[in-house]
Amino acid sequence: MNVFNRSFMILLSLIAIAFSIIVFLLVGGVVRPTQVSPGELLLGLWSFFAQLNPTNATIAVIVCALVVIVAVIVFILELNILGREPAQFVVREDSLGKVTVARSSVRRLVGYESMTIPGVVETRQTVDKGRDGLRVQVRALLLPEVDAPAVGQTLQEKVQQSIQGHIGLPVTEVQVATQLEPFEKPRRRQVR
Amino acid sequence: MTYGPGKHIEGIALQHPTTGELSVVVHVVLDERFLNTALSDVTSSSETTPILLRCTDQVRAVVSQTLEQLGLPAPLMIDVTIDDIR
Repeated sequence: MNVFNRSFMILLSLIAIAFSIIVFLLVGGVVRPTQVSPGELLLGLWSFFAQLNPTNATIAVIVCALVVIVAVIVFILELNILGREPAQFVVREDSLGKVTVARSSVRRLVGYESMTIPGVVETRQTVDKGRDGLRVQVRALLLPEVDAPAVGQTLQEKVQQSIQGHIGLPVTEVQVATQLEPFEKPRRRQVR
Repeated sequence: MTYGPGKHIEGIALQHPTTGELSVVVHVVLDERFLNTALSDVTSSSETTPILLRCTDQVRAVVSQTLEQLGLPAPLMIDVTIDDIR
């Protein structure tokens, strides 16, 4: 789904939530139809819900509750997807088509390049897309005897040159954090 | 993935934007050894085109040649995505 469709789904879920809340209030007698009908808009519809008998009112409340649950789920999912960073970066777009590279591939390249620098034992890196180029964050585990600021600077320069030179994507920022403590390994779940 | 009459090739998608036109989407997993070799060669080479673009240019060329050999029309688009490096 494209951004328009996602925005439409978000709007639809908000309308569904608002509609259901109004039905709850009407059925519960909290508000009168005229209070939720500015300029008599949808007055007939709201009057219908306000005049439901107890059995039908219960059914309407159950249906609206289900609608609210579904709408909230859709809203959260769509909002999450909209806010998510793209999984791929466009490297080139010409008359013959697009060349894209997965974010994970850029991360791996950063990892390979980092490991070629003497003194670097292990790295963890993230790559994000900024307005004018990529922003890279590298955490590097160094050997205790190396000059951390010097290695950090080399790392910054090499990562930037590497992404720009080997992939062809502009890099606006390379943040390097060095450390001597080993990285925490992801814990494995014990299977009993 | 491409689904045709009895055909399924992972990583390749053939699309027909309009009748008689063809566009190809190629998903590539790069060999780590290729990248390492390319990275070590790059210092001695005067080539300025980024390694990945050189690679994707080769992929596009191979796709074009293959379609030509099969007697198919030249593709309208050849999209290439580097999915992973292993």
